[in-house]
Amino acid sequence: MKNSEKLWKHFPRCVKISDIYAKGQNIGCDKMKYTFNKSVISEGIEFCSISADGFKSSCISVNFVLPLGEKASLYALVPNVLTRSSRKYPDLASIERKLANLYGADLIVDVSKVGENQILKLEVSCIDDRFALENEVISAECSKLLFELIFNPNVENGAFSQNDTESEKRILIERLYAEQSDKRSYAKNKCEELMFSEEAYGIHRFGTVEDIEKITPESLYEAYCEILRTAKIVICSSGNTDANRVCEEFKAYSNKLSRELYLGETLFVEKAEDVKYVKEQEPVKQGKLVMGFRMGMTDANDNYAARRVMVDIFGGSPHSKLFTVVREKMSLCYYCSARMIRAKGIMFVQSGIESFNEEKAKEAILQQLEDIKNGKFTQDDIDASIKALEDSFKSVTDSPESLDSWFMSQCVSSAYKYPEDFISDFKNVTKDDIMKAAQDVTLDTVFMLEGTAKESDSDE
Amino acid sequence: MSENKIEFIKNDILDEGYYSIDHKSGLKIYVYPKAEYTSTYAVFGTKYGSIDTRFKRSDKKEFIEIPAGTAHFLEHKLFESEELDAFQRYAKTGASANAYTSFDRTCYLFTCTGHFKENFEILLDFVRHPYFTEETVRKEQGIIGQEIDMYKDSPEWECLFNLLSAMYHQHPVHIDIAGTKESIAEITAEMLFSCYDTFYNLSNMALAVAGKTSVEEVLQVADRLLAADEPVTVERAFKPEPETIVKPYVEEHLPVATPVFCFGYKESYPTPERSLKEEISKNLILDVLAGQMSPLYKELLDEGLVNNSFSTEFFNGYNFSAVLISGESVNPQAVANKVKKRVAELKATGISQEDFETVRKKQYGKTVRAFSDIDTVANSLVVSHFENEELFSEFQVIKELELDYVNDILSKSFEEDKAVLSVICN
Repeated sequence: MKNSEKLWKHFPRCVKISDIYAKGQNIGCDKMKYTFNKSVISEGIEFCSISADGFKSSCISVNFVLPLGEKASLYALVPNVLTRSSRKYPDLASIERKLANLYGADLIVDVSKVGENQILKLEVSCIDDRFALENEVISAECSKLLFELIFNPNVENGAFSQNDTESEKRILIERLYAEQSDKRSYAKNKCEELMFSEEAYGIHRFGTVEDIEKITPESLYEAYCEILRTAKIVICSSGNTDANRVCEEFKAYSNKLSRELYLGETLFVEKAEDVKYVKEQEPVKQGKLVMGFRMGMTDANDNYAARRVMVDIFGGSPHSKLFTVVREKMSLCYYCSARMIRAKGIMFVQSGIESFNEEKAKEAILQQLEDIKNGKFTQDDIDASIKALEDSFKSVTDSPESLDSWFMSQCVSSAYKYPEDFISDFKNVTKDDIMKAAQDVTLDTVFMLEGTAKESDSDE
Repeated sequence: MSENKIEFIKNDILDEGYYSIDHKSGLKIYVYPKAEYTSTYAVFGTKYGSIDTRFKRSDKKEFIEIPAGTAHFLEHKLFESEELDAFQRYAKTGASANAYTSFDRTCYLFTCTGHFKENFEILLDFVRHPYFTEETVRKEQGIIGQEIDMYKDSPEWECLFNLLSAMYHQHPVHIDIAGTKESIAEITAEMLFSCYDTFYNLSNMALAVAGKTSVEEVLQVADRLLAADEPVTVERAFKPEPETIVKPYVEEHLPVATPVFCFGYKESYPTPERSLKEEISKNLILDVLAGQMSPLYKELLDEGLVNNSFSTEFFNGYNFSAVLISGESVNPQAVANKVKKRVAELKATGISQEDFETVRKKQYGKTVRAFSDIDTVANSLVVSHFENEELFSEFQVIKELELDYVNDILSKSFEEDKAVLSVICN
């Protein structure tokens, strides 16, 4: 089957379902085909299992929750170096060969930001054992490999390998630079940086280039030890795996850790004071307008359902006001959408526009929000949004990987909710609730990246 | 045809299968039920992509030429209707809908977890009922113009099309899928209707549904909504493409932190399409040559020449074929030189039995996993149909593949005088 292909999507780079629940915004399913269990191994170390038959794959992830702060760069680099080599596997090629022989198992590292927490995730996923051609227990081999990489790193004299550290530093720096080259993410990052200049949330999940450059094999090893000592650790085993065995294996490693758990807390700012505005110029063709809003929330559960439905009507889907009015009717932008970040109580509107349309676009976007505040939307709009949310949440149950993301997106709070826990809440949202949710929204920061390239500038 | 002809095709490894239906309307329909799934994914596609700019209908004498970007433009316009557009209709039933245009096809799709029949009706209805006017076509020119601009800001996308322009003299694959601002300015409503009439004939299309579904519910809607078309076949015509490349190096300046590169070898074959066996073999070769466990990748990584954006691809379609290696590098020329050197070494020794077995095992695992993804399954059913391949044959091909054949393929490709390097830098 074709995996990678060049194509033009009608909504290019639209929000993936996985992005939606990575942010912990969820809804439910009608039948349960899996069982979720959580047990506490020791303070701050949890083991979760999602057991289900029938899936073609299984996966196991280890998640480290850390407060987002000045060590973000150090922490972000650790998983990359851990998966570059280990005591048993001297280089990347040997790890990759092992994975290939496990029928193309995938080893994935992910660093994300959930509220003011930084989450480091290391995951291996593989085909279900029943597909093995020589009766291997693939899933057992995979969990062994993952724990081996995490707990038996390639360390000598209190330092990681110089070569691996320098190489992974370079790669991480290049990833940060690549994000800056992508003007859409650059504008979004810039808006975040401005909006949260006084809050931890303003820190990028990889930290900064300067901080990455300062990392040494010694300081990195120190950070690694600190992670094992202070982070909240959640292991999740999904699919048709032997959860007890995985749990026992993990305990054998974790029992040796000396622990001193350290948890952070996310600051919620309910209202914006003045609107911050910054404009930059770049020789690109399309301008990017990003607007950051405070949603009036005091914590992640504060009237979440109504706010989530409101954001969907405002700019969450093709039937939203931003899409149907600002894009389709007024032709002011190519893309224009709103996204809520529940764990911090904020919302971003991102759009791609002709730079000369900046004022018109801003005005039109704010007008749509104003219309929701004043009740200028129909029951049909509400129904459509609730259906769309329900739809995206229900499909969570279709793979072990998506179930893992669903539950692990909640690993900060450990209050694991099933997708269907949210559905009834959404269904009870009324027009009044939505208007009130919109009235709580205040504009905090506007960032405009003005495109100054002419047609001929970047042609050959 | 007055009756639907239904056949069940089963795969023993996966212990599941799909229904292949010759629908009485002349449309090919595939249904791949997966009872344990919550979602359903449906895709309705036509074998009409960006490269189809010169063609002849079976009932006409002359070849017609149309502006670049017409297929994509038509895709945009089909969502429109006299009253509610397709998105507004889907909004009422709660599906997530989209569409895409590639080099060789245009597909309309939705995914839902309920109200399948209503959603499916919307899909069949709007794709079968084009509605647009000169005025709405003019308006779309603005929207698509913006879209083209946005892609022009994407270094990877520009890099690929610059490479293709340096590789292909004539073949339309080197033109952006959405066309250019100039080419789409030539598009008229009449032209779109004429293309619709030609390519959206049911005999040129395919439909696939995967996930929580059944043959009965698919056919209940299809039988009611799909009236037979007078079959029209389309003959694709391309200007002859020389085997040579246009130029070996192309560079463009865009604001990027690390230069972006795409390095590839153009390939020429006497027949227009590559078989699944050739495709799989080529992918295995690329994995041995430049995959993450290859000595080449290790060397490039250790010398600071690539990062994990490094990837390989066997890029092929009707009358075009190339192997591509792309990524970011502070020194793309050095990467290209190392690739060339490693290709020569590998050609001299051939791929070892051990490496072959390892990448084959990996490929088998990837194939198994692809079947858990309902959108991959449905899209692959449509693609396989257009390429005259059977979906499950991949398992057989992987199982029966021989190292000698793969090494033979290796010896015939990666010709140094067909190599092109495209670079985007500051």
